[in-house]
Amino acid sequence: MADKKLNDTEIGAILEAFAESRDVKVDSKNQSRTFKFLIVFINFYVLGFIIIYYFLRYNLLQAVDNGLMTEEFFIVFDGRAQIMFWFLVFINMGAYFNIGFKIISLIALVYLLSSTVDNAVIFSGLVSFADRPYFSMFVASRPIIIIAIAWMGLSHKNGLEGD
Amino acid sequence: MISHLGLTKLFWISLAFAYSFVILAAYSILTLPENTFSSDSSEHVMAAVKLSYVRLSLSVVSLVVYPILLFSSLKYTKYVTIALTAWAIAIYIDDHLVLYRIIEYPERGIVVFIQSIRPIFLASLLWMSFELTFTRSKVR
Repeated sequence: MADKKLNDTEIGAILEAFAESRDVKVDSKNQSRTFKFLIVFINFYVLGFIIIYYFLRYNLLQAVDNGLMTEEFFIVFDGRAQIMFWFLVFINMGAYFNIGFKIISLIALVYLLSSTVDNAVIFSGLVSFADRPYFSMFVASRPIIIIAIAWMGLSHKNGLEGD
Repeated sequence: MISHLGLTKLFWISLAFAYSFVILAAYSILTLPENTFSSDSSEHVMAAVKLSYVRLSLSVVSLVVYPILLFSSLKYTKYVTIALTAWAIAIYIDDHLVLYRIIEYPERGIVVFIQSIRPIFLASLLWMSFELTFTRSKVR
């Protein structure tokens, strides 16, 4: 009668076949409090600035400095607002489905760094809390969101080593 | 030394193209003629050149660091390549969809040529990122 016990090689092959499996949705209890706080903060931060921007854009909020509300600036801020909205969507989807979250965070971080450098080079002369409070607050708070995204990416637990 | 990394010829061709592109871009910015800023849209050209200086200085640092990283750790090379690709795409999107009314690149032959081959540069970086990500097990 043939021996039906599995040998070490066969057990190894079975373990290897399932090594890449993961939960489709990560249990939120697995994530640290820091991660939860950061993802909520980032959602509020991005949505808050998008709402303030669209209020200014459609004259629902009185602009302190109307000189900044030119068509050229609207094109820049429209682009930034839309790109940040889509990053927010992908970050939330990545966190919920546990797919490529760290990569998405890295890409968002790189984009934010790049756009912050662009802002610093092009609009540095326009920063003034007295004359342009919304714009200045937006520019000055960029380092906070950059640190938050970097920290969030690092504190995310995906349960799969090397992903 | 190169063959033990297990990367394809296409990866090395992409890397060589990316290096050539950045060196050519640096050359074109560093050798701008004096009359570049005398056009009607000189402010827009000035903004583009200022941005290019900042971007190119970071690119040159990457050119120096990348080979060191490539031969020491493929894991970190993967993350750095993805970050650089994301940065290059972010700059491209910013230039064409966000900042196109604020900046204007000089109308110089070499600059126009660089702009026209920019998508190939992005494709090269994308290929390198995909290869480092999806041939991970083979490389290791």
